[in-house]
Amino acid sequence: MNTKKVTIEQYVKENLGIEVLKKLNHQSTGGDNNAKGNNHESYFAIFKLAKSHSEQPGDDVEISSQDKAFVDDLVVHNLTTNSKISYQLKDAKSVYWYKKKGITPYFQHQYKVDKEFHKLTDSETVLVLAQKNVYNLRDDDIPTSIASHSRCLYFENLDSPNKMLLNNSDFKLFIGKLCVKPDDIDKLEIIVGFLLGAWSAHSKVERKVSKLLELAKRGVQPDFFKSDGGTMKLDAEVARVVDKIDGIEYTIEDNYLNYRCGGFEGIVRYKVGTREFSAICDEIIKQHPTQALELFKVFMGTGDKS
Amino acid sequence: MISIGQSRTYNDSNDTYAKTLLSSLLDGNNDATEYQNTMFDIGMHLGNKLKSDLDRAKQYCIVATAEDADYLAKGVMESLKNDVSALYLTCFWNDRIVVNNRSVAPIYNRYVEDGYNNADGLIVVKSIMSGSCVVKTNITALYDKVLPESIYVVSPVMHVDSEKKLEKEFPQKISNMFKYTFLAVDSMRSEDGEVIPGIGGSVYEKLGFKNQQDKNTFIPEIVKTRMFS
Repeated sequence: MNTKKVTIEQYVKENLGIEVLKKLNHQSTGGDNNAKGNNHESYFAIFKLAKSHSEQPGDDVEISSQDKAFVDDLVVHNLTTNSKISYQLKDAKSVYWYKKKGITPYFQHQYKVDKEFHKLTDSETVLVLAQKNVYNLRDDDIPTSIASHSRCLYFENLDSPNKMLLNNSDFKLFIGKLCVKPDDIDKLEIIVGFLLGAWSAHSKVERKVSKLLELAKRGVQPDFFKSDGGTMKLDAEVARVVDKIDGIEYTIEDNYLNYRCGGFEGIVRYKVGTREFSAICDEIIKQHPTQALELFKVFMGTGDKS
Repeated sequence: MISIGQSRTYNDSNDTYAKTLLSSLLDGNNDATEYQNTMFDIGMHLGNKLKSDLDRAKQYCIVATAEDADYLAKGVMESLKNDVSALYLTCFWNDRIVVNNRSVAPIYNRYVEDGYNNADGLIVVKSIMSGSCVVKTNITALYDKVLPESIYVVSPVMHVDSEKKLEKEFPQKISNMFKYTFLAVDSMRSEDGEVIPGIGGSVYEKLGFKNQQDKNTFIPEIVKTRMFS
């Protein structure tokens, strides 16, 4: 990072000129964002959040939007490796490197500021395009002046979590890494909802990936986030009852009890170790079911007899 | 007071039997058993209408919810059982909750009949198409496993916006497969979002369940029979 007491505005004015400073100040006002753009940005932000958490689990990573920067839609800053990736998102039929409002000067300025002012080891600028044909065109003609630190990425602007999860396999993969049921879109959709909620509520004041994830997980119900702790075991007395029932298979994954028999399968809605799960266990011991269907009725309930 | 005439459009204005069946759902004097029987009859009627769209040589997978399985879905299955190559039952237990201002319907339990993934098409049966959240969730859960070439959505009553809402949730390659079989379209909602006149109120209560939690522990007879057959 810069050790002199020079602000980014001073640096830009002195090194890139007053006109470029005006551009920087204009960028920081939020430009012409609209609801659609914000939606695209939010989905992309939680995608990068999930990806950073999965790919750099031990690193100190910050993620932020609308920073004072030339490329400011989303910035992923890895403090551990002193590297940064700056993303510009565009959902338009016409996006150009050079024409009016072209991307190239912004990418050039961002790279220079990152390397010379912020003293970053690595800086990358990425143009994220929502339209496939625009992506193909711009990916093919990245100017040589920025090619060493720039690339294009295709990320559709879809209007529902379900559609995102069905259409974008990378999105599904990395959201799945946070989820106890990575293949179940109905559970992933809930994870997406909580991540979007946390991003919307906290991203202006919190940048740390680890903290944002903590906030997304806080007090959620239902909680399909993977837990950090170990997996608990089923109470021995309950296990003895269940084990005697013909045809039942069960597993505990991420503290959720899964069961199946004859084409029927389910998941107990409360995690092992919770008060509610204990109530279900108490009910099993009390009722002592001997048939699969009797047991399932208890598993499917809340432990409350009323 | 809103009359049915103002908010309801029948799919076939000459189908007097459909009108009688739907009117019966709105009869506040009917008990749960009568309501269940009417739902079964509606299922049969919808199945009879659906038949002409199906290919006798192909196999289909019925996609039902726990509350509809013994009544509406069973009626559809009864009417189709001799007109297609095979019918498989799948049944889902969904919760209805709101996360980040969106309705979601996580699946806690499911029953899938052996061979369901060989089906050529899905027939999704739902007592009312309102927000389409449950239908969306259950189609999504089966899509990758079945890879259907057709998806039929079968319901007595649909809200006027429900098709659009459902299709918005899927990529075009999937939403292009949707075909709808229904008896009436309603355009009104009550203040709490219930389609009116719809099917006469909350389907859980009308069918005799105390609430969602009660429905969640209910295992339909049609599932029990098939599980151990």
